Amino acid sequence: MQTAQEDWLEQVMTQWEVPLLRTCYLLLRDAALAEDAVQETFLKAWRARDAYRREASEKTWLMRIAVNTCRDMLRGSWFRRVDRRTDMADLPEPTEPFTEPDDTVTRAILALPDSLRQVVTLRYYQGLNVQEVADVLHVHRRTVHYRLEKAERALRAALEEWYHAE
Amino acid sequence: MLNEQNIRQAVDRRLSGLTASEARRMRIRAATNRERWEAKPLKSKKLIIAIALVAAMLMSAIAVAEGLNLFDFFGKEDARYAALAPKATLEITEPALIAHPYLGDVEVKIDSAYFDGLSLTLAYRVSNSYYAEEYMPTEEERAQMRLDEPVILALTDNEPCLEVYEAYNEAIRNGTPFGYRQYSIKAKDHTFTDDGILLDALSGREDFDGAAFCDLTEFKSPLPDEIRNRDALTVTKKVYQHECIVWFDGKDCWLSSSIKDIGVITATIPKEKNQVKTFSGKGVIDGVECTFMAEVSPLAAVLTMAKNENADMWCDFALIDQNGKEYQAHGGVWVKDDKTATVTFDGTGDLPTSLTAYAIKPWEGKYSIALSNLAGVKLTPIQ
Repeated sequence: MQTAQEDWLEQVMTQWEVPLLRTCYLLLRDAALAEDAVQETFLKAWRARDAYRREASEKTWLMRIAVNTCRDMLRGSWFRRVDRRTDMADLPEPTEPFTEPDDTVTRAILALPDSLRQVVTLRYYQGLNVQEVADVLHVHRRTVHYRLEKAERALRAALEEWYHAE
Repeated sequence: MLNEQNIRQAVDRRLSGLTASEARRMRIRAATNRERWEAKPLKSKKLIIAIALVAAMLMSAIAVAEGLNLFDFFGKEDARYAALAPKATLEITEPALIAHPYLGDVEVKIDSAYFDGLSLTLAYRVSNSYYAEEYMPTEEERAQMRLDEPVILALTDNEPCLEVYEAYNEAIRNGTPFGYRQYSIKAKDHTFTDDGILLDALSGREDFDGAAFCDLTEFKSPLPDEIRNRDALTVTKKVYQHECIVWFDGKDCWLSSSIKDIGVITATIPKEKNQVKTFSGKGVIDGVECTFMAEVSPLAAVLTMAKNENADMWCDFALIDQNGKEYQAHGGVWVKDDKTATVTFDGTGDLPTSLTAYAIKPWEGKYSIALSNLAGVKLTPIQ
């Protein structure tokens, strides 16, 4: 019979494994490192699970752990610029057909500097609101707005056909 | 506005090869089982628990005697903090002592901090942070609640109010109604100097040390000009109580939460002197003459590039020390007048003797090129 702890672990893995894996890939630009980051994120979440009491949504809480894990990996002395890949050559074969614009969008996000890529990933890919992004990154809302503005400026040219003025 | 849905779907299709993996889940289960198994013998043997408690108290006493603080605690994950821990112990810190009807006696205290004029990092601890009880919200309260996901809570065997959370989890599994109310106490992210200057947080970590909640926050560098030259920095944080009511009606989960300020914590952080070095150098980027200035401390670096003429400033920047150690950029290049750009980095934990700066055009695909293949600008100390 499964314990509540095991139930919890199975539930979060089922719900968040793939979103976290793809988020970590966008943050790290390396599929193998993203795999490590996801395992580390679940392990850290499991250790700190008694700290989670709905002050933030489960998604925001897990994203915060994942972002911190990726930041730690990026800080590692072994992580060098030469290792950052944007050619996506290390990605496993896609299981869904993708179009050229799909590729363009993903490459444009991967080409952003770290901090801009973080806000774009959390805001546009994960769909967090500005306050949640600020909570995850532990920065002020103003900082998130600023970075989003910079990121949008940078992405606009590459994503012209995806860009919708409102 | 960017079309979020299109972006999300495009990225999901392009990254669809990154899928769930049973092998990965098995590794995660194995790691958690190993930790649980290692902890298991302690919960069923009262004598061992008593010994463990005495040992924990002794360890705590030893930790206090040796001046171990939260920089040591978070230093297990980031060596920069461990290296600065001896300098981060505080002599002047005023805790908030709260006699809470549910949590009992709670102490919230700024435990340790590091300030060198360029960077500030601060850590606080809450001795007893959570309480929960079974609770049936009133009709009026229910009318104020919002719909939430019915999440099964993760539980540990020895946490307070375990029976409440277990009953809630059981209700979710069985589809029967149940509600609970919980209280927690923490300090707000907003941190002010004693003369009212708001310090912007840059990044943070939080964790539990036994029953205590621990938080470490790094603030944005450079710090505001008004405080950089102070011999000591006095800071305050508000302490708040978070009250949360969760009601599962057998099908949907409902939530309400409120926050109330209940105290203030302050600390005076002496400046760690001679921990900021300034470097400069000149070079040519894209045919334009540039001057680089860098201010560096163990926890932060600020690089400014100034051009002699208006030019495209949309660059990414990199900075490495004399040993080839790369500084990790926070991103967000700040451009002023199309002539000056500033970018900040995490410190490496050390003070460099020399630096090399790089300006890289992200749209030219240079992310995949090694820094050694790019022309850098050598920066030397000017102080």
